[in-house]
Amino acid sequence: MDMSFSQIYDEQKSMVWGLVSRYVPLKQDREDLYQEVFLKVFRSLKHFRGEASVKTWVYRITVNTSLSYLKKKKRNEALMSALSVFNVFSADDKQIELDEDVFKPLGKLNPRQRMVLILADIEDQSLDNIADMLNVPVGTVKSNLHRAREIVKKELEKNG
Amino acid sequence: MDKYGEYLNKIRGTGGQPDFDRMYENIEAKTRQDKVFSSAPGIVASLAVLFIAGLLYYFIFIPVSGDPVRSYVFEKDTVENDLVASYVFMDDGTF
Repeated sequence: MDMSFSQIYDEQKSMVWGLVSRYVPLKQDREDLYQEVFLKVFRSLKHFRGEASVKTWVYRITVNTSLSYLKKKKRNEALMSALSVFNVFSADDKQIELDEDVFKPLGKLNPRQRMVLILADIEDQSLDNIADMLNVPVGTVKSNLHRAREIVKKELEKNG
Repeated sequence: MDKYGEYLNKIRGTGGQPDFDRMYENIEAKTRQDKVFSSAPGIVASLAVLFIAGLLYYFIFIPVSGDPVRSYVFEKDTVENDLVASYVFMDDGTF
């Protein structure tokens, strides 16, 4: 591995930021997720054997870290929401995720549907590539994408 | 362009330009913590070796009760400069 971490950072930072900022709407979440991605890159750099290009490798880390991040966040929100019933946390403590109108339709999707839609329709990745990155069959990607498009279109119709 | 296409373009336009240098500094600070934590097992191993060496030294070189390995000549009696007796004090308290 000839590349240093700082070189990888300089070359891949825009790509990583582009993907995470399309995946999560809040600035703080984006920055947290972005930093988490590069920490993973740093930690796994010694295991990188160069079988794929650095860009592909970082892209794959970004996709999987983003998915885990959103799943974890949703779990935490569900817990906070459950605790708010018992007045452990007030409603004001709950972070409002979708503060931008543009993210409201995407907010209706589960983490995997959201990622599949972004990868397929915004990042223009092939279904085979997406299946490979997410480690799921192509059929699963297709059904997730179909369902995600349906939900988003329905939301767009509803909101005029 | 249909609504869905317009919507995708809106999503493409989100993000803006963040402060990459500041975020790099944060990442670097966390990687420094990683380095400190990764050296911790080495420090613990060194301390363990020192501890075991200390224990071995104690059990091998420090006498246990009833097993004297050291004695001290604490007094000598001489007659006209000829040594006639040495009083030897053993570790177990006997002469």
